[in-house]
Amino acid sequence: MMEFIGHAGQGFATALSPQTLLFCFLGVTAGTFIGVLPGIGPLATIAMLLPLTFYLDPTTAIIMLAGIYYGSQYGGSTASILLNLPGTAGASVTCLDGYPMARAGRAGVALCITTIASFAGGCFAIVVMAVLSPALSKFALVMTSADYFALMLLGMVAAVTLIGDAPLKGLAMVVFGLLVGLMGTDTISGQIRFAFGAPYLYDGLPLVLVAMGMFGASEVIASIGSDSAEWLAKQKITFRSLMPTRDDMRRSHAPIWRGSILGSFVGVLPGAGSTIAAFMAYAVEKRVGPNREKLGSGIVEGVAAPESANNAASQTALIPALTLGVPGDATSALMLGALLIHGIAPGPTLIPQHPDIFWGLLASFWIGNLILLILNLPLVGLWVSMLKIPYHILYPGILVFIAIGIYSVNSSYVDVIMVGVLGVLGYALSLLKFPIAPLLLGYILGPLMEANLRRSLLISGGDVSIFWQQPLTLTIMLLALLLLLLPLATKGWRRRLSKELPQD
Amino acid sequence: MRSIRLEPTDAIGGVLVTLIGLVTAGISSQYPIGRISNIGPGAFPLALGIIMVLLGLGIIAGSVGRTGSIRQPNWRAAGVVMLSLTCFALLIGSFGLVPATLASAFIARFADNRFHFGRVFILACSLALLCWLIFIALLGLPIPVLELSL
Repeated sequence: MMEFIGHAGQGFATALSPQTLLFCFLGVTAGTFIGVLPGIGPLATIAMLLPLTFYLDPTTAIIMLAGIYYGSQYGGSTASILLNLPGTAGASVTCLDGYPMARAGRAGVALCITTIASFAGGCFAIVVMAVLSPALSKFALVMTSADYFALMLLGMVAAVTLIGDAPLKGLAMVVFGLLVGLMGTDTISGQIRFAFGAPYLYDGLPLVLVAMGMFGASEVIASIGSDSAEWLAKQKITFRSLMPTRDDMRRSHAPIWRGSILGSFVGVLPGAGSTIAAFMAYAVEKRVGPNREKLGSGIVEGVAAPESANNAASQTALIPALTLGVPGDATSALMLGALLIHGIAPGPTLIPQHPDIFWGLLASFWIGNLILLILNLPLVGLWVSMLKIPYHILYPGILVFIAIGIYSVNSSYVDVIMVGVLGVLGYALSLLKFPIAPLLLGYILGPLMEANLRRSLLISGGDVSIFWQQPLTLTIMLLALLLLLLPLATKGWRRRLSKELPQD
Repeated sequence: MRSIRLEPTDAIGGVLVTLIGLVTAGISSQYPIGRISNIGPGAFPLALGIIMVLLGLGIIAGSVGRTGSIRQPNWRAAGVVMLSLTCFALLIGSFGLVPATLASAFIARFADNRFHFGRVFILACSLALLCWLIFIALLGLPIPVLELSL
């Protein structure tokens, strides 16, 4: 316990220095600013803002990144409540009650409850993270490369089959992502793969390019021609209208608790992530909530439960990413990739070797949450006016922002053109209704998965049974198999889910 | 003769996936495959290529007998975005941030029909100013702002 307090103190000492505090603040603000734009989810926001952190030292950069991560999520829920335009599938659950509340003139209250629920969910999840991560990272030391391979397989299968109504297309995108991740020089043999004779590709495609092209540029193409809802222009959201009544507060209390606990545990599971957490929290509310019949008509419980769950889950989803180096969903994969760019290799050695980074990160998560709470209530008017800016004025700005961001990474003009190419590719894939997020997960896991496969076979001397001999490996493999067969068994449930959740 | 109905989105998507899988398998079979106890750089991608072909065929099979329509693509938007980014790329190196921003914002506005010269001019100028503020003044990125000498 004393050790824990010492670590926490150390973490806060790192996170509370004026410089890191400033960048955490900047990250939260920028994240909300971009995340609030309709159609732009956390993935696109983080991808776009990633280059901003490149010129900072690793600890500050990660703290700013954490701020962006939170801000983007909060911004996303603002767009779902006010416009019924969720940036992610997870935020779409918030639309179910948030949007009716906004139409009934209670948008301010919905936004306020969102902020409070997110803060509570985040806080709870940080405690879970602080307790669980060191334990898991000790456990990770006994994991073999076959276990890692199996775990990555499970994560990828879960990410595709648990959400979305086209598991085959999702799997195809994961495999495509794995292939994109293998481009460039093979670290073991030195063989250059899939470079098509272009020296530009010898180092592979950088993460920032893939993420910005597939999520940033393609999103801009897809949104051109759409415009925000007319009715919003007439809405006035004042600070006074934000204040929930005593009754609202009393009623959201229990859903927030249920959502936080549920979300924290669902988030750790590979592939589940915040979407499933939000959906499950809403489903629980529908079963046990005292006002369950009114859910969907615009009541605070319907906002409080999914928002706390989704924030808690997006937090705990980072546990496997940080301690095992195996991300469970696309967003934590992107965070993992960002850490790698800053020279920090997440995995079992992160906590013992870089305790300052790990605990500093946790403390800054908490501070980021707190800044969101303080910042967003007074600034909600600003975010609403952001949503009122017509898209035809916004998108040139977003485009220029992407271009400068990419150029700042390597000062390479080819990179800027590549982002355009990847953007068109991403747009074409989304026209064919392929989910794009699994591609990013595969891209991050590609080299890791291959390395662990090769290592396992090398250790076993070519004996494939290494993937089912040990009980742990066998269990993970069986789970992956089960999830692979799941779509066949649960067609009805999935159809219902996909009706309520738009694909992202 | 009865014609077979295919859902176009999935049918085209499936063909695309199958083709990518075939090309991948073809390319990776040229790399050393290695032995099972020490697999080479070609083995894993080859396996992925084969899996992708199977998935592609599965997607095509799933489209049989369903009806539907493909979403109308906005090629104009795609083209304009591509053009805008390309112009930025070509201008930034030799002319600097401000001309590149002006040009790419200006071109980007051709993607929809609400083009109005005066407003676009104001928009491009304010964007250039904003980008200068954020990236040069605040973050200090080492990008030339304005280069006139060639």
